[in-house]
Amino acid sequence: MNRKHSTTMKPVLSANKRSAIILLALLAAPVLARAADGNDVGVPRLGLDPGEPQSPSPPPAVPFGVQPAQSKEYVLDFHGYLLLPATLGLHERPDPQPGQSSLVLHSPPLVPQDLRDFEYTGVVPSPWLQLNFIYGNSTVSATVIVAGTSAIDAAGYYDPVAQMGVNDAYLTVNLTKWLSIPLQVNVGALTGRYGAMGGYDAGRYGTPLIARTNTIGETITGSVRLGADFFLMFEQGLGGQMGRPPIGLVPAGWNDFANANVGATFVNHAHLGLAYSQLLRLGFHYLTAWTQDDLADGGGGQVPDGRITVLGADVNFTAGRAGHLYFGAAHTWATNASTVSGAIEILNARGGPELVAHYLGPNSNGNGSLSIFGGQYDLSLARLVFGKWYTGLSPDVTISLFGVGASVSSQDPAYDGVLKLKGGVEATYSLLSWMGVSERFDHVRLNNSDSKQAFTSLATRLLFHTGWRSRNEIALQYAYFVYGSSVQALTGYPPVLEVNPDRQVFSLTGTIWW
Amino acid sequence: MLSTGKIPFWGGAGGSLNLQYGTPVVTAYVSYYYRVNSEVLQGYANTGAGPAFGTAYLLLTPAPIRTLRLQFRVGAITEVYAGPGQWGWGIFGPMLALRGYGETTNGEWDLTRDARVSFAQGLLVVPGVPEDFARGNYNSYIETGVSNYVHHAHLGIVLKNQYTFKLHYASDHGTDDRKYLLTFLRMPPHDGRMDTYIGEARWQGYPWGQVGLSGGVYDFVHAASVSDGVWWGVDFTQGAKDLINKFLGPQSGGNGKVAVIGAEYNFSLSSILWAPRTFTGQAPDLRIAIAAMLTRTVATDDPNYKNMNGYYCGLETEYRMTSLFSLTFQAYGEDRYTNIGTWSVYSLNPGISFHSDWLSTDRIQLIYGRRFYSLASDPNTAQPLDRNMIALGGYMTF
Repeated sequence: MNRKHSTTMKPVLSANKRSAIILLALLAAPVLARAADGNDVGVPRLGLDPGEPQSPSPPPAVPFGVQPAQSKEYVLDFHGYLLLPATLGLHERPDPQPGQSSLVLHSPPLVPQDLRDFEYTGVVPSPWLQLNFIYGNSTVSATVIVAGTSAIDAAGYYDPVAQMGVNDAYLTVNLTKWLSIPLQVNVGALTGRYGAMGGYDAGRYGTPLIARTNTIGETITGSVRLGADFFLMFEQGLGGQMGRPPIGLVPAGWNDFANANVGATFVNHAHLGLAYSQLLRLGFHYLTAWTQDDLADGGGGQVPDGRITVLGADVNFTAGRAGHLYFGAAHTWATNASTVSGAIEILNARGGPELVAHYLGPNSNGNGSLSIFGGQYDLSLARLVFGKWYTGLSPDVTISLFGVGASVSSQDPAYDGVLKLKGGVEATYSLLSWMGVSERFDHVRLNNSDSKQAFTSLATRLLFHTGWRSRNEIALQYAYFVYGSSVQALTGYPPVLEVNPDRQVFSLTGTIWW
Repeated sequence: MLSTGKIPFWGGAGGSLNLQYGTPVVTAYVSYYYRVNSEVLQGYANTGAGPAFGTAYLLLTPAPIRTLRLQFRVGAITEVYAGPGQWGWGIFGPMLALRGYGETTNGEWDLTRDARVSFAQGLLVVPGVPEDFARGNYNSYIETGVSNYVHHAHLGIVLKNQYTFKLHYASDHGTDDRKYLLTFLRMPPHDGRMDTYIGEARWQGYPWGQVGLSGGVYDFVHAASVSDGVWWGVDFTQGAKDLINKFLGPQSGGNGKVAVIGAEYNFSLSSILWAPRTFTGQAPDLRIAIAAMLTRTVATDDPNYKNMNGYYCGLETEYRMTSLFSLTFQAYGEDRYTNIGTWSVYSLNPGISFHSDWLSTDRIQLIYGRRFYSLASDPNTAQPLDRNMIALGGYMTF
């Protein structure tokens, strides 16, 4: 469905409205306009399309040539997403030795921004490169996604894990014209992301709120029209990981410190949703990941089968000029989950081992639960005032409010009852077609009852584009962090916690998507 | 092949996909490459062979401001400067190559109809690894616990599209965060820097070809803590570490200066013989490139290496006999001081190549190489380096 807006008519304006226009014409972010610029082809879905970039804040992809979904003939389509930051963390040496400056420069910066942990906010960008190749027609297509987190000519080669190679590869069969209802089947290696807080992406935290799946298997996505404006949406998936780390594998950098104690893990998930026009979407999610592998935990065969089950619900409210509101909540049960692999991710924590490390605690035996809630609200002031007359080709101010909480119930007394909270606000003022400014505030409480485990960041960005609705951005950012005395950052081999993270971080980021 | 020194072909097999997407104003560039590392073909022993993203960046080209043209690159970048060969490269590569995440700004300004000024600057950040990172073959034994950034600036002028003069400056700074380990020179950690100053002059004119001359100084100050933001120096020598090992010596403490001067002449014999008529390349031709480079360690804390000289020389010829067939001949020599004697390697490399047309970019090439080593470059008598070499390969650019 094409959602391009008319630009030919001009409104008749009241005096008050004219004043508001004058005020907002001095302000007015192409973000929502850019986000609205694109074509939706395919089946409505409750999660993110696996072809969408695995990184925060890209709007919908636009066709390179002819989209296979719109072509009767076989065609090749090509998309990509590049997020390329140069980052530098500043730190003060407490006891400089001869020949050492008191100022330390870190690249990459030493800040609490572990994507797999609750502390992650995404304020400090990290590289992501993705190339999507799609071949097919409106009935069947094949998608191959090549991805990486480093460009080795620039960075050097020291982390094989940063080169993911073919990250996703799947076949899509669209049965809509045979069944007369939108129905699509994906088969292959693909991800599923549920609980996307942004209008078109995983949200400001780049974290699916309900869960994420990483499996080889199938996903069926469809919808049924109920009356004029109501749709019943459904999705089901079943899959497992292709292999488990072999027994005896020594965790090391080249294998991303793989955990050989996990078992072969499978995920079954089902989702049901109700949508009203393009205004409201209510979703209910059920996912369960389990392992029943006698080779788990080193092959001793003595550990009980593990399971992680998620029940969640979320609501997306796309209210035109009133902006986009998302709210979701989920409850995760972990039962002997230490052997459940990263086939499922909860708040980006891969499987049971990372759920234990970041939430349940080492003495939990992988047992416990997690109550998660979160929301995001995005508002374009120009759209609020001008409604559909705002086309994204003039100044705008966009405001985002966002937050996530997680309450832990665990057999480990040190972790039981911990409430983790994070929230923030970001305002972006696109004042010229080629320039904007942005300010973002984040506060993270890793344990709500302990202020020493909290930190705050304030990030100021200068944004440069090639046009109002361009799909590229160069961002120059300065971020300042204020830490509680117990806040630590990951570093080392393997990564362990280290105190005293960087307080100031500069970054220069180039981003483009097509 | 077990060898050292310059070889007459690229020492690997594989392919590279260079993708670009954009408009005249903004373009995304991505290079994705692999070397043949399938276990079926050579055994899976080197994850560094890829596949991997090489470079990726945005190129912004705003509309010219009168006669000023600007370009901005942002992303994961490599930049090369000051090669005396044609197109700024050459037999022994650029004298200054840089890499990292960051930006480069390039500008050109038409001063007059016959004079064009060019300038560039850039800031690049080179990511590091923690001090306790486990080094190994797969990560090229990366220096641990250091963070680096590089700033570089360049100024040049081109006269009548024939004479080019350029100045290049780059400064690679290293912050050493190590608490327990020593540098590769067995010295305590120390913040360091490596500054590069290169001048470049070039003349090119039909039918005589082009002559390039580049020279300058690499200045090292406690540079054992400086990474490879200066990606290549002399003859593709990578980063401060390898330059120190080659030219400053193990007792240098990473301190010293290396002066270098190199020249290259490229010409086509048929172009000269056909003049004043234009030679289009669609007839037999003899193409010749000849290059030489001198190095001198003008300062170092290692007394053994002080005032020591070295040289490189190279000859590359191709006799295009027919549209389908050529004879090639390449010869290289390298000679420099080391603390175990003179390190020298010479090679003579005749070959034949097949191509689909006079101007095609495809080649199937067969090369025989005879190599000559000094004792310092081939010190292990139990496992001597190969003296004879045969290479058969094909390549195509598109």
